[in-house]
Amino acid sequence: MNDFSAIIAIGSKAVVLLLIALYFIFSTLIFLNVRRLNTFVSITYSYLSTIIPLLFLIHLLLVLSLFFIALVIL
Amino acid sequence: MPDIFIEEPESDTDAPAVEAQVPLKAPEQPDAKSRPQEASQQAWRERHKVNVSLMRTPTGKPGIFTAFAVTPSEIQFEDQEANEQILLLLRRHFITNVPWIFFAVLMLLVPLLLIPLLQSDIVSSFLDLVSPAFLFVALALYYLIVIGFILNEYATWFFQVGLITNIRVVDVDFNTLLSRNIAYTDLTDIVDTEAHQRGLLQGIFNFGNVGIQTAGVKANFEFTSIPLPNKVVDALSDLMRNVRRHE
Repeated sequence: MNDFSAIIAIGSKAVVLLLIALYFIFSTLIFLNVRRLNTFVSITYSYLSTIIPLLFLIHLLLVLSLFFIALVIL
Repeated sequence: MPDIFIEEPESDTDAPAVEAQVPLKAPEQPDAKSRPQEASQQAWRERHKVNVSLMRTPTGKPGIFTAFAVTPSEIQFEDQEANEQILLLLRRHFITNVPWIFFAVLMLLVPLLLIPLLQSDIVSSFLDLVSPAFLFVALALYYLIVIGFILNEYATWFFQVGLITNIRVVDVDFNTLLSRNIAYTDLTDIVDTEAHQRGLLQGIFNFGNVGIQTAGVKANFEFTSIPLPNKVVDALSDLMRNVRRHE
């Protein structure tokens, strides 16, 4: 029973870390594409050209942070 | 929405005002002093002269939810020529975003809606098996995915633009965030334009599709669910007529 619990714990940890890693890769690709599009249709007015890629970057950093948090606390 | 496009008057009385607003320069030639090239530059200017009425009702700076902008200021695109001016910026009507906004709100509320379920025996016995740390990470990942979904959907709407300039039509398709397709066609290559409005919603909110048929083997364009499709078709027709008149 203890072995089974240990396997479940390790398995769930591995699955969560893998999910976060995959989502991080996906988010990185999206961020790069958004950055490229932001250059193409350069909306030079005020904050918009900065804030949209910045939001994606913050999101990407949060995913990366979550990966390390999960690595430590799980 | 005011009438955005009216046939340009033949007289030259309005022309200086327009040219003062948008200085259109003909392509520079190394030996531009010769008479034939001056005539060619004059023809180019006439051909790409911006319509007076269109210039009279600019919408200025587009906001973060703008789907239709006439002569939008402070917008440029890659490969834009020095003498090229954006006349119309088109995005899908904002009402088309309502389904994903509704879905996103629902997704944000799902964990809260599940709280009563936690009191049931089956769920609480399952939760005993997982650690609070695991629950925290799972919940954080869930919310990050939902936030990512919201950002993706908004960016898809925001970057999927159609641009009509005094020289050409640009279509930026961005169906998924991992793919993009950017297509251009000169106004001279446009054969036909048509507006489609189907359904009650499109009728109420006055949006629809605009199809642009191009000559030869070039791919046709379609701006989907854009506001005021009839006005856009009207504007394109007038621009095409203006270009052909000076061919």
